[in-house]
Amino acid sequence: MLRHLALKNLASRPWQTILTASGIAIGITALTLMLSLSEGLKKAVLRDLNTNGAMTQLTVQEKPRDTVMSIFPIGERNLIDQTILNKIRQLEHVQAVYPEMIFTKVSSLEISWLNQKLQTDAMIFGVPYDFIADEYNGSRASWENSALPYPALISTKIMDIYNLTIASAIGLPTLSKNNLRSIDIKILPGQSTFFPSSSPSATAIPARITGFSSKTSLVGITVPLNAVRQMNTAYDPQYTDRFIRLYVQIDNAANIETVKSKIRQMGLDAISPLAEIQTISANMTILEIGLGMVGLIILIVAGLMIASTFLAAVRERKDEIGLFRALGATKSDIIKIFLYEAAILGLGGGATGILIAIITALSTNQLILNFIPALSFKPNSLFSYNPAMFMLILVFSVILSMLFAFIPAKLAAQLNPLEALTRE
Amino acid sequence: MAFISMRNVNKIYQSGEDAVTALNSVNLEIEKGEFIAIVGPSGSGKSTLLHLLGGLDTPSSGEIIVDGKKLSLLNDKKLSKYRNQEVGFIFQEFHLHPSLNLVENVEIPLFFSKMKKKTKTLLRKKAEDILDLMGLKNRLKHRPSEISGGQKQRVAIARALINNPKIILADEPTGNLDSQTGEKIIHLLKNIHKEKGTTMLIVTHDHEIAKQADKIIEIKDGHLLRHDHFNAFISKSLNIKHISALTKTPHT
Repeated sequence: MLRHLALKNLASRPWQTILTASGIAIGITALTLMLSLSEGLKKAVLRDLNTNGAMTQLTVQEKPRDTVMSIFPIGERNLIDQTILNKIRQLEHVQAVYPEMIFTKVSSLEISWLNQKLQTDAMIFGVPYDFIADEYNGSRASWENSALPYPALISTKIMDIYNLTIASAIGLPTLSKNNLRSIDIKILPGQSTFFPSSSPSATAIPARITGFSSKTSLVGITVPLNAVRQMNTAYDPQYTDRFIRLYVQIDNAANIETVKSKIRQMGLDAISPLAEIQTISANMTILEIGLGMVGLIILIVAGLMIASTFLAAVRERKDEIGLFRALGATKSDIIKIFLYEAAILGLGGGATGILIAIITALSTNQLILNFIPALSFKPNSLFSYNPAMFMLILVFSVILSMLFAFIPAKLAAQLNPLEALTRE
Repeated sequence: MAFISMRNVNKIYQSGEDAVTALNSVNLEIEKGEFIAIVGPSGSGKSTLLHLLGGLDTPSSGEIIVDGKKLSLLNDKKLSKYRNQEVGFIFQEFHLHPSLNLVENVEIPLFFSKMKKKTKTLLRKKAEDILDLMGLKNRLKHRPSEISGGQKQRVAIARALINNPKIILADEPTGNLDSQTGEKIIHLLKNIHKEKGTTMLIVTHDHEIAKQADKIIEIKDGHLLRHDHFNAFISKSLNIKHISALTKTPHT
């Protein structure tokens, strides 16, 4: 019944009602957008991490000799030998170890692509078949035999960089996982533009890029492990059976820390993508809180608007409050009427705000995603939301509105009914 | 004990350093079912008396007992219930809610009573029936701004009656109406009094209305004089200077 009175009161002041509800709607729109944006970004970042590094994987490498973590001066870096590889293989909870070998001489690649010849410095990495099996189109034999031309994979990120820069600059067709057949290249061992001193006279080794991998290094191509072993034997025999990295597969994410500490006891570096994900997650949560705070501040401003509207209403509605008191309304009835009004405003404004936020998010998604180039890590949506989040925001909107209306409501209840009824 | 009894009631309004005495040592007893006119010049304390009896205001000193209830001892909840259940107010200014239609205006006291737990249809029926009795059956959905002054006052009467109160307190109910309409309203109130036996206290300036009352209470400068009928009022009111001596008190 009091709800009915509250509704009637709101309806009798349509402009005031619309303006106040709009204030709440703007606040809720901001809050919803901020929360769904941070949720969306978090999802996009974590998805990228999850697909690239299994949650049960560790990357092991020797500690660098000096603080310069350069990828180029291989000579400055200790490489892992076969003994350590075997030790790690025997550790409890370790399911598999995939060694990654590097051709120690910085080389360059000669790429023939649509009648264009491109030459670029690149590192040559070698991995076993099992490591790239899910991303390699060819057979196990074709990888393990290492027949010429060597099969080669490039990082999906290279594809993105090529599509964004070279392809668009000189009008070449863009690449995708679907349209790539094979690109013939020549590896020029040790013939680096940047490290000319390391260049021995060498014959070109033919290779063929057959696909992309999300696990391979950005700064070069990945070929069969045996191919790099052969190249090192020929050009830098001391590194024939040395590995730059070991990818260690653990049976369960819960055992990662145990294995990690055992590997660290061997004097090696062990990095888990899980820890990386946790760090990023924590940072994303901070971002989420930050964005949420912005939304909240806007909402508090809207709340203050409610308080000021209701304070004005108490002055304007003295007659009505006095009449209700004379007709038997208790102080708590008067508070209830005001709070019902606030709740209705919070519900209406909140629902409208959420609706506006959804429409804004959908159209912003369309706009922004149309402008973001088709990168492999491009998120499907910048915003992420779900019904539970909407429900929570709606409840929050109602509670906040009632909270801000409470003091004006209390003032209204304290009014002397007589003063209201007898004023001229 | 009388149905309504006021004992040594004073009401003083403080305005800065000035104190205005609205009621001065008032003693009064009213029996159940009496129809009483309260007369007196403007500012004499007539409305104050009504507000104190209706629980809208509290006396500065003294006590008011209605139907065995000492009003000063009632908390907000009980006093609100008293106003809602036992008293019906009728104002000179009608005080209808402008954004509610007539039937909704009549329903307001029900919203604050224990009736609010009943179904909406039941409350609506009750309000419609009472408006029908007031001859406003065809105006149920009209807004107060769409009807005449006399009709507004009939809506206000319907609203005052909806909870079957024991007392009707009417503050110049015909003050804003032409004499013909005013007469009809008084006729209506008399009928209600006759049929329901409701105790009625009507503040009025109009001697024609006062004439129809069972008893007349005359107030001047906060003092009170009770006359048993209109002729007594006419003959004695000239001696108003001796009011306190003539006032009927609970002790006499």
